[in-house]
Amino acid sequence: MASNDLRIYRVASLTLANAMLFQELISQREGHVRPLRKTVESLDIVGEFNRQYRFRTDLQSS
Amino acid sequence: MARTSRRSADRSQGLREEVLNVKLAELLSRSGLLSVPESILSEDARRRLPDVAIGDYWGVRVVLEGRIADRPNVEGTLETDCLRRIEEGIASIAIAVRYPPELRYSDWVTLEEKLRTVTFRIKVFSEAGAGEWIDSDLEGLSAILRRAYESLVHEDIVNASVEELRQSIEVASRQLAASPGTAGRLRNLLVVPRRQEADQHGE
Repeated sequence: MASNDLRIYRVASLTLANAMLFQELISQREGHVRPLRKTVESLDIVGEFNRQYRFRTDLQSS
Repeated sequence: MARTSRRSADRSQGLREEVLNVKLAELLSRSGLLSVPESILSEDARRRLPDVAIGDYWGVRVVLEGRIADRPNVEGTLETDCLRRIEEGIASIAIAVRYPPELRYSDWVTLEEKLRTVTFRIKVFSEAGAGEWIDSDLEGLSAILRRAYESLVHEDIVNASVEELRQSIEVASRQLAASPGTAGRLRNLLVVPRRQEADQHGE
């Protein structure tokens, strides 16, 4: 694996981890945002994360 | 009118545990120990009576789970519920409070004074582990909560969390690398400048 690709993968992974921490914190204040535990319990995890993040971006732009 | 009827019910059936939880949270809030949201302490909340009281201690979420010791296995059910609060991520610290039975039939007017002086049985749960059941009054609860907080933010736990996060990022990076073309798509999504890449290659 090229070292530059590895850097990009790490930045992408860190971005996802950061987004998950953000989701967990927001879920404590916004009833519409589900905590991570509930999100990963979903049968469609990717779809559920997609729904949660769409709601968050809507929240930020409103 | 609603409040009068509820208090009448309180006198005949005794106080509900939720009333004690909210009142205890209110006392802790007034003493400055816990920051309890208005949604817990408001008149509306008093009518709805939430199951547990949630507060904030130096940015850490704390749940108070109280039960009156006039039914069997109170400590067992409190332990189960507090552990669940931690496991489900509802709070980082959960405090199990076993109220003495005489609080059930306290007079509403003197309830606050009784909560200030009575001895509880308390057990603290956190992501760092669980303590032991100990006797404590309201003042003692302050020291107990501080110790739980200190153990939670202890360097070992922070370091362990950092290491777990670092390893998770490495695992995720390897999994991303397994799909061909991912690096290019991520580069575009993350808007990594080509110039920067060239510089890094040149290093």
